[in-house]
Amino acid sequence: MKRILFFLLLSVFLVACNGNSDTSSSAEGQSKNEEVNQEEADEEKKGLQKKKQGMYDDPIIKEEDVSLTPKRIQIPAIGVDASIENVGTLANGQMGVPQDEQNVAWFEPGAKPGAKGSSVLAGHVGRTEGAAVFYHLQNLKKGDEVVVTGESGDSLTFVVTGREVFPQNNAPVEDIFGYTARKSMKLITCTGEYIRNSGGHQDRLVVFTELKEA
Amino acid sequence: MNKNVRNAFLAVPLSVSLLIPTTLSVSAQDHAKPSVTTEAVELRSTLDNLLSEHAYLAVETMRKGAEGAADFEQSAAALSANTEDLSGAIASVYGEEAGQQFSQMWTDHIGFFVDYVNGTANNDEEMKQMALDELNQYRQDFSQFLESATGERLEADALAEGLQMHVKQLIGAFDSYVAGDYEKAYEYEREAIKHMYGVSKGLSSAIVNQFPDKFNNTKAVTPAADLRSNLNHLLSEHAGLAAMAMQNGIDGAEDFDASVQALSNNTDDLAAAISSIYGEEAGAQFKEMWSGHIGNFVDYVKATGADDAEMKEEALQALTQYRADFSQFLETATGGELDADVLAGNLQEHVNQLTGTFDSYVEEDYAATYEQLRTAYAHMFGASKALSSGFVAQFPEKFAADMPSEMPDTGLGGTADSNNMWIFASILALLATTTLFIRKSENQQ
Repeated sequence: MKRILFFLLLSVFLVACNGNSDTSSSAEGQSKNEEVNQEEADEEKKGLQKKKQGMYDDPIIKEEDVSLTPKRIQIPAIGVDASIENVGTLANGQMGVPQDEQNVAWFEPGAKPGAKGSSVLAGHVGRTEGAAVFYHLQNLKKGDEVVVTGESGDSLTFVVTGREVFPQNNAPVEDIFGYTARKSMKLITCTGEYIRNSGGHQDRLVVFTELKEA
Repeated sequence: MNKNVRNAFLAVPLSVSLLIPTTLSVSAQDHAKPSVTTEAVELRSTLDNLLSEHAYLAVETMRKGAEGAADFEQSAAALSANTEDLSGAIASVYGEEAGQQFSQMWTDHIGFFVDYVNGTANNDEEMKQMALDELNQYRQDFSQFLESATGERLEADALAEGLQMHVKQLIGAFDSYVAGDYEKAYEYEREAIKHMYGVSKGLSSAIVNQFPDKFNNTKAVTPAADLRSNLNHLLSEHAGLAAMAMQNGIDGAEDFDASVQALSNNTDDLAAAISSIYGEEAGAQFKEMWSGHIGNFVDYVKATGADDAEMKEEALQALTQYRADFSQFLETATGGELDADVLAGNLQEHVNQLTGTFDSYVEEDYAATYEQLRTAYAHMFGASKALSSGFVAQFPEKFAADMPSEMPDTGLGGTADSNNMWIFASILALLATTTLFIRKSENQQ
């Protein structure tokens, strides 16, 4: 590259600018006749006096990202306190499930809990003998709280806003996993009739939660 | 209203967008392929353009107001023209009546900002407070309007919070500027612009989910759409900040340094975006070329200030060389997905638009300045569309949607699933028979 460095040019230019104009009149102003200059001066009185460099102390207000990579989930209302495994999509297109039936799976390619969009957690309802982690998920009521803890120990509280049951093969997957401007987290488990030859439980229970704003 | 929606809807991309509309023919089967040009992504991109331009022009207009600048009126007029376009976009989705309501509320809130600027100019604390109170009321009303319009897909509370941030960012940018903290003023401006991309993301996804048929069942938020939106953001911000830095340059403005720093920060972000796709080395190469072309613009401003025609011509020549080099760089990087000749043509337009905006400003033809500025700003969304298309076509797997097609199988957990038990038992039985057979054979021998 033969071109001179941008910043070099810049510094030269700065000097040129400062040298060519005083603080109260612009370069364009200098090219005008007196009458126009007078008009401009009047206009400038109406506006603010240009100030010298100063400081504005208040910090910049912007959206803070509170999302976290979930490691632990607690649902006091149904006595859940479980570790979280990360899963993706299986070869058959299904969301993955936890290896351990007492753990909960977080769909890692989707949103993190606390981010805008849908974070999705899934847990088994039962095992061959007895209950698995989300056995009592169906008992959750509107207003119940779900606490998710991240790697650094920070935690976020979500509030149950509703629940819905969908047939396994006819669930609005795009809506459940898709983007929303809300900071939503969805909990999924199986429900409905158990038919062994049709892949087990026929329905899916989805509990909808949203981040509790401080 | 439904009828209105249907009739008006056909006109969306045409009436609203300053981009050349493309023929969209994405069939259901193509949905699997990541694309930046679906109906839903076009909507998001249009809102990206208009909402971010609103924030940009609002910050600039307030700054011009504070300065008592000669181009204040024209800058404010550009902001109004943007409002008309936004209202048109809303009307095309929700009908004329809603569009008018939107226009009224939106115009009002700009008026409150003007009140705040005037209050500041007159050192009138009461007037400033009244303006803030009005803005507070506005955000309640407007959030309610959008919650109703989107069938509660957008929540009034969350919207109000987002609007609160928008208001605070514009006020913060203005107050910082008035206090002479130019670095913070430009940092605030960048945050205010960035914030609008989140608003556009939420609004476009809500509209698309509300009227899936109108958008051919495509989604506004996908990894490919996010790439396009990110480039929309950084490229248009580049044009916007460059135009203002050039004006500050010729004016010898006190905030010139800070405006150039903002432009340079934007370049860093762009280079990071390129690095994330093509690696650090390509990112560094990109940055060198990009910074070089900004330097050429600086030369052009300098030459104008010195009234040096020859130097001006040299700067334009350098920009011509840049567009050849840069187009070739992109063609090579994308493995031919982007065509250097087409790119060069588009880059020339960008150069012409920015120098045109600047020349009009120097000639004090401010109406032309802001008309060209809006064109230059909108042009970048076309550039982003072309670039993101090329990138996604080259690496479709990188931009594949991360979404399962089916719900998880959360029935019986662990390896002791009864289905598995049956298979396990059958295998055991099979093995047992086989062993038995072998033993038998051995015995016979």
